[in-house]
Amino acid sequence: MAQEIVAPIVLEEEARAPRPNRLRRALSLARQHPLGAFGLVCVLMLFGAGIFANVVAPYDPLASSYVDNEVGSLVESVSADDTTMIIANPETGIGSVIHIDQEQVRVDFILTESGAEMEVEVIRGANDTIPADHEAGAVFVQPGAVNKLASPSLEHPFGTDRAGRDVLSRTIWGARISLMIGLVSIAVGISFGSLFGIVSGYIGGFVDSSIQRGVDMLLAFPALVLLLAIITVVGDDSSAVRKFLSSSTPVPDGTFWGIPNFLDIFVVSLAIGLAVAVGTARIIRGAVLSLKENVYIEAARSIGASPSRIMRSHIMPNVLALIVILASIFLPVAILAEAAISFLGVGVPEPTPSWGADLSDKNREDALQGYWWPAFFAGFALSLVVLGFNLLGDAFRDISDPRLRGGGSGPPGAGRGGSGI
Amino acid sequence: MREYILRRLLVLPLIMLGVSFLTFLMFRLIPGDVVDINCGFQCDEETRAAIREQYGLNKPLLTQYWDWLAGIPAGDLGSSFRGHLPVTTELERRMPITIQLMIMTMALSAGLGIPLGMLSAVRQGSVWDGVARFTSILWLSVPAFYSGTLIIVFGALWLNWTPPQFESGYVSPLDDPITNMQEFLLPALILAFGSAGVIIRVTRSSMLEVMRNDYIRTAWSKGLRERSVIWRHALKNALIPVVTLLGLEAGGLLGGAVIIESIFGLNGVGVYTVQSVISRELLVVQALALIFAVIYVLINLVVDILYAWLDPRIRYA
Repeated sequence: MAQEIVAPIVLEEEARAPRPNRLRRALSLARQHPLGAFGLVCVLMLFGAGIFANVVAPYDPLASSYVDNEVGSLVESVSADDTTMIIANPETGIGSVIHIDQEQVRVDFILTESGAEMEVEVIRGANDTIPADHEAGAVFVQPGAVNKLASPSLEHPFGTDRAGRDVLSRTIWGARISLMIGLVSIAVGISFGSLFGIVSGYIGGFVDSSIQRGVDMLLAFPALVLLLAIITVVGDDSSAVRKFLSSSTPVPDGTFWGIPNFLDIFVVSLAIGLAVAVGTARIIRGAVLSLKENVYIEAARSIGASPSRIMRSHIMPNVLALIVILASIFLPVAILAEAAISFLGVGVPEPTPSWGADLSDKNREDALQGYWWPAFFAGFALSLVVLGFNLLGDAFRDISDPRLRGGGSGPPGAGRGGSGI
Repeated sequence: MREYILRRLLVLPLIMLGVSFLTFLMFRLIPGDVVDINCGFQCDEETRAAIREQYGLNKPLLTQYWDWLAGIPAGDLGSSFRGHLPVTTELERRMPITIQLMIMTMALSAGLGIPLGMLSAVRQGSVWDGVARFTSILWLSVPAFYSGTLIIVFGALWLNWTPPQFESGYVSPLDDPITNMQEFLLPALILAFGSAGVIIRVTRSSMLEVMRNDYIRTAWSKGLRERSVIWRHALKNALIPVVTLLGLEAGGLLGGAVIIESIFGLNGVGVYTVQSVISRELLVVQALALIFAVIYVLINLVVDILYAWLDPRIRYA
């Protein structure tokens, strides 16, 4: 009889045993680290905007938008024969064709200008339209005027910039540019940097010392200046690198994935990648130096493994975790670097939507006049992305190493918006 | 200690030589050189040859290098190709600006970062800790050129205030300290936020580690006041990584405050460097590279000396 009672209890307990529900675990993790969750959301937004830019962005980021501009109103009625009109609050000049009701007139001469009114001589019925009588108060319209510096509205939630481009679309496409440059530069930089770091660290001796002296000298320059020097050397139109890339590699010259001037963007990524490689090499070399002392390396050597085999099969897998961490730290750094050099005008070429370029001189001048939106949203997106990476990185550190919850030590922050860059 | 400092100073000329040669080579290896930039497509072969002759660009590399090197003891660091502006005059004009910016930024970042980091460590887990940690991440994430732009734009739009240097140019602190402060406080603050963010984190983790040590526990158990324990015993040791950080910051600030200098209209060494790099002013960049290397080595030396002062256990052979 005891067995009859035990069995159902055991079965019941098994049935009630908690099944790990991944979603619930993820949600509780998010609740414990709200800042990290916020960071994750920001990073996901970056990737989402970048990957789906062409779907999400409401307008073409390079295309100016046009709108019918009101250029004034008739002060007095005119008949179909009158060639003189008086316009109030005119925003027009000689030669422009303005529409009034169904007729188009061409402004031929300005007779007088006083205060808010302008008396003009016009040619009636331009472009085959029929002259007609017009009442006082009728509005003149200039169709297809560039809709520049329109303030945020329902049509353009972030407004338009001085060329009439929708700022929201530019911000979204800026994500794609930043993402592309960031990913390419860390892909290139980390792979080459790790290669150099592993070789330099493992082989040691003269090769190591000379590489390290070279790196030291390169690092004697402030980072931004070094990056600029690399860009001017590599990015110049006639540089050997550029010629090589356009002729011998499949890197597309024109538009790729919606990004114009792709080759220039690729060159910028290479330059940043070079800087990333230098930093990576240093760090990886340090790790390899200590890995080298492990007994299994000595064992491998003693059974006759060649250095390249040891580096490939023993050293590399062990630095892989470090490489992944470095990649996650350098990605926001690369994005900030691109913004900084585009800000200075030497990064991505002109009309390409880039968060850094949208913060540069012209937009700032406009902002000082009161048109703050072109510069504001670009920088806000940039800050949000860097903030997101940092918060996410922090949360990872907290989760994975409970000891550090009291410390917070380790590489200081994923991306630095501070001095220097 | 004295011998150590002397030895470090003796290596200086070698490093200077190495850096200058490296820059020299790097910029001469570019296909498009200064002549192309000055001329564009307009010059014919004759004019280009004349320009090269004038600047000595057609002499063998080593001769060019030697010519330049020989002028340095006399104080001639070369001039720019465009306009023949001597580097030394430009530096005289621009150094005070950048140095003042550097000093103020470092002071502000240490003044903001260290106390907040200490507060965060000593009151670990409390509201203050959370606030300090969030502030530090905010500060180090928002790029300086964005916060600088925001402050200038919204200062102008809402408060109708522009930094005085846009109207009256740079004012030395000896002439008019008040205007000078108005000119420099804001840019230094913006730059300082970024570094302060990092300093808060490093101070915090360093303090936490130091406070776990036995000698701190001894101090507590002796009954010393909190102030004495933290300031006299813990802080000095905790500051070592912070000193490293400040040293790195100083090095980076020299040329790296470019963006802030250009936003706030300060004509310092930073903007000078960037403009020279972009227009390929070879001699100017070479001279600047030399200066940077010297300052860099000196800063490292100061940092090492500070280590020895902070932690008496550190002794150099």
